Amino acid sequence: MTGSGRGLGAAIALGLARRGAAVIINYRENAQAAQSTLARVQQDGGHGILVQADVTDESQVSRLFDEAETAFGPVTIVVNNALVSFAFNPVSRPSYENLSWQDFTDQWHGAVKAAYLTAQRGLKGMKEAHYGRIVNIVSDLIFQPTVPYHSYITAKSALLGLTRTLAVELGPFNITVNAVAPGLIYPTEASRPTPEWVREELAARTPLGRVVTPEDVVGPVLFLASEDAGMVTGQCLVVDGGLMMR
Amino acid sequence: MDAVLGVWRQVPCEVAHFRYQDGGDTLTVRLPRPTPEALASLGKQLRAAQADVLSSTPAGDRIDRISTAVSPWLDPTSPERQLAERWLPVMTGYAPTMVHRGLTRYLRTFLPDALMRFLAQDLSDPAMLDRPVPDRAGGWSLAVGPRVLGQIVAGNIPGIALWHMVLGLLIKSAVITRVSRQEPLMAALMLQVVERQDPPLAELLPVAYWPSGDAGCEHAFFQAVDRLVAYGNDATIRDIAARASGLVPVVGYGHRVSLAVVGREALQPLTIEDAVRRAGHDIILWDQASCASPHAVLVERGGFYPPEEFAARLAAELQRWDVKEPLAPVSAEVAQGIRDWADAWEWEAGMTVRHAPDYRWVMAYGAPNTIPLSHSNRTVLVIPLDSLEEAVGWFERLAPHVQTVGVAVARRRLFPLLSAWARVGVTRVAELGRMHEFPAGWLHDGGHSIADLVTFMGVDPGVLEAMDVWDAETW
Amino acid sequence: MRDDKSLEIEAVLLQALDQEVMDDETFNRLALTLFEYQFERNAPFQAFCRRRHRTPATVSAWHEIPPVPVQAFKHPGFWCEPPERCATFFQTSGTTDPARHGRHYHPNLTVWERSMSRQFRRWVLPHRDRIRMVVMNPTDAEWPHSSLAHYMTVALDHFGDAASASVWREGTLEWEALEAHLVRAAQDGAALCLMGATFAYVHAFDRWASRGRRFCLPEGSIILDTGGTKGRSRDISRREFEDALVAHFGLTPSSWINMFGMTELSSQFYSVPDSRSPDYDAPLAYVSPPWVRTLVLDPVSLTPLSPGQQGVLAHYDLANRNAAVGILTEDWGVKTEAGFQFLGRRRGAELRGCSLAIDEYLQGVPSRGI
Repeated sequence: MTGSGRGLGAAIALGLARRGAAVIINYRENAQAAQSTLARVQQDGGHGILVQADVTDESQVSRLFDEAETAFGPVTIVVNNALVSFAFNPVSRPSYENLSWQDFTDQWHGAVKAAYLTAQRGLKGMKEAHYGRIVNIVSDLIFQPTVPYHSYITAKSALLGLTRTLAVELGPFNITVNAVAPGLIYPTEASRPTPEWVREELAARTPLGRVVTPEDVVGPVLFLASEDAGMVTGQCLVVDGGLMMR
Repeated sequence: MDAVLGVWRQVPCEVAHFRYQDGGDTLTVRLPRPTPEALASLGKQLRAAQADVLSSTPAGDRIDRISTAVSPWLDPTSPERQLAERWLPVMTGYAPTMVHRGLTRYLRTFLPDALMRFLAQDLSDPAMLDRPVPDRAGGWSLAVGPRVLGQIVAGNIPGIALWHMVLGLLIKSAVITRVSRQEPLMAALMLQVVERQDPPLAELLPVAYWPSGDAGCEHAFFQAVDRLVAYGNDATIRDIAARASGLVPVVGYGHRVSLAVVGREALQPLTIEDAVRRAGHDIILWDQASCASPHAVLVERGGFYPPEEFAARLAAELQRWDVKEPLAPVSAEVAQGIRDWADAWEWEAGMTVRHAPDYRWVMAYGAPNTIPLSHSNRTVLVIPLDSLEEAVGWFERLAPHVQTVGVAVARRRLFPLLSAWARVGVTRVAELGRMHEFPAGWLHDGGHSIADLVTFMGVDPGVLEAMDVWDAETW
Repeated sequence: MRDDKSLEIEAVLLQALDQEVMDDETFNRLALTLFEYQFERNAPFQAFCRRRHRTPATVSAWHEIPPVPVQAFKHPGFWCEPPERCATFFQTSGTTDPARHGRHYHPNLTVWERSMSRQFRRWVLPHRDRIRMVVMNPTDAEWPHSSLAHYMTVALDHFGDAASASVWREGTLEWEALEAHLVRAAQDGAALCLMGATFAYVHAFDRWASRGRRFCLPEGSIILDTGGTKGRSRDISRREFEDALVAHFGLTPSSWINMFGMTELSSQFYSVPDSRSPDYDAPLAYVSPPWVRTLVLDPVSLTPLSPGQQGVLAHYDLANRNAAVGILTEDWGVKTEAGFQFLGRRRGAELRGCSLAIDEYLQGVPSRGI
């Protein structure tokens, strides 16, 4: 579970642990938040460990998996949730003219490279177990860029592309690769700068009448990570209260 | 459901019942359960009937007649075919789709062209079963089949009894079939099919059952037939041959095992999945109870993918088959045997073992420390080779039990290997994915299907011409 | 030199083996401590556990520790303390191929001997310090790597009096020596403890039956056998065995004790008169030492079965410190209050069709066209 120290990642980690998975809670900086996630996992009687690692760095990803395998054996579920810091603020977002190429590469690294590295390293254990589940967290913005966060949406779109190509290549090993595309999730670190009126406006246009909470995303991720979703691969499940229908 | 009967019209006889149940449906197969006296009397009557029905029918007509008689087998809507597909899964535990697919492929052996090829494979001119035919050396040849052929059938593969029933008719023999307890249905259905199409022919194909160990019946059976075909494990066949000694010649088909060889050219991005699918199918069909089922897949290194990749994909393929066509139920003892088998490779040989959580399939990858035998029931070894030349070493370890080698190897690389394979006892090379499809006229375990059953007579070259000296008219 | 951790484990276990009873909590704590140690030290065991996702991080009760199949002892690296730091090893008899033996390494035999002695004292010799003992089996000197030979040796050393001896010399049982011992015991009125493999008794009974020999062993004598008869000489039923005891030794069935041991374990189980069912057809019931727990598992899924169901036996033996605490046997049994009932081996079920098991292959010769 990359980026599971807090926010959406923490909620998913807790959900996976409740369903009996041993969770590897990966964080980059906020050790304290990760520690409290682990405490909640253990409180529920679940198993977990903490591993600090920057998932865009190959050697750190390798260490992440080494530690996970030592503790629990082969990793059979990977949820790519880690996110480079990004502020969802439609008001203060940089316009395209002001966007640097660095902004793009940062997002690209955060979304695609992290998934690339974890899938590559995780494949070994999944092949060993002839079973695997990879779930990539993308965004419903890639289908309808209500707010054109260029770098973020471009990177998440690429991650959906990787989800599909990997699904083709890993199908023969009974490994599924899927994506979950949440709408605006509130509250999280990244959505804190989103003004309230924007959230209200989104909620008003959403059939289910509110924006997404981290807990809303847990179920769909658990489903795709479970044995129940054995015949689902290369798909993207949109979780936004019906805002986007496709 | 209706009972299937295999009643003899010739000789009155007790009946053995085999009952099967599935949900609310039941099936009863009734088969003659003869006394030794009944068998003896049957043998005598068959001898006479055989002469009446078949001895004067020439080969070409005979093939037409036999293929017409068995033609309902090739019609998926025929009652016998439907009954077989309905009940074989119940009797054997094999998945219905597997039974359907397996039977469809097997029964094609009875198409007229295939029957013709059977005769042609062993007999330079099939007419030699009817009259003398000239040979190239200047002599003449004749072949005579046994008047009554007997067979003792094993129950591992559905319908195995049909083979020699048809083969017997081809060489003008009447055939007495002693069915196995595990699968008495197909032989009885065969009798029913032929009876509907061609009653006189059906009289030549009596089916019977007596429990193994009934020495009186067995002795009478050995005396009633002129040649005996027996299937079973090696010990069984040794015992049968010993008991039949001095009474009837026995052709025994004992335990055989098969292997597969995958060359590095099949481990390319666009070919590997095809190779995996073919190997997977050969492994799962009849849950490896057939002599053509591969016990190990020898995979060559040096391809785009390493053999480990093949092994990993094969494991996943076996998992998929378990969803599509699950393993037939096994006893707790067999299940424990499978786990022991897997544990032994893992711990004693240091192989990488992958298996379903409940061991409904097992794949062990690496170099075995002893003979590479599976434990049947979808348990397979994947053994890496540095080069294809090493394959023969593994065959040799199983010699002389090796029957089929299934291959996925480029033609130009395969051909040079064949002589060495033959020398260690391999008797058949088949395409991977079609290891279970025995071609018409194949060399059964290295022998001849027909030539091993018939007796030949040769007339020396020039003898007829030399007889002119005695012909007063030509003086 | 052995390290501190290994010595510490040894000390903890020696203390635990002194307990007459062990509550579940103590057993659990010790089993988990041992598991953690073995997971860290025994590399193939660690790999085995990791593949099953059972690690110290996920295992919180002793019965979650994966039991290792007996084949594991054939792996050359199956130990916590490496062979060079081990005093000895016991060799398993190959179940299929005698050439492929397994090895159970012991850093020293302190724990093993403590376990053996405590149980021997409890079940075989509770009321006296030593007894005259005759062993129809090799001892260490004859078979240096046999756990059974070592069992006999320890019994002779710790529980036998000065007149005790083994009657096994240079690969054979010396019948005359055995018979002389039995005659002398009767003359001296000295209670005797006769010990040996079950098949040795069967040979003896056959020999004496044909010669009409019988010995009158004094009251208080003990007949201890082990191993059963499967595959060796002929089978013998419990009734036959007990009748023969009466006929040849003049003893009552209550003098008979059956010991059940495995090279892969470090403790033994006993079937004592009190544990046996009055029903002669019932399988023998064994009592476990306080530091051993037995699970009955489904043969395929290896999940525990409910009481009364037949399955494969797995023993968790705290004395098994240098290998793995949980051992999955090839034996079938049923759980009882004090231990288990042994139902025998369930192997060698014939395979369907054209396949043949490796054992069969190694014996078989193919046939065709006879």
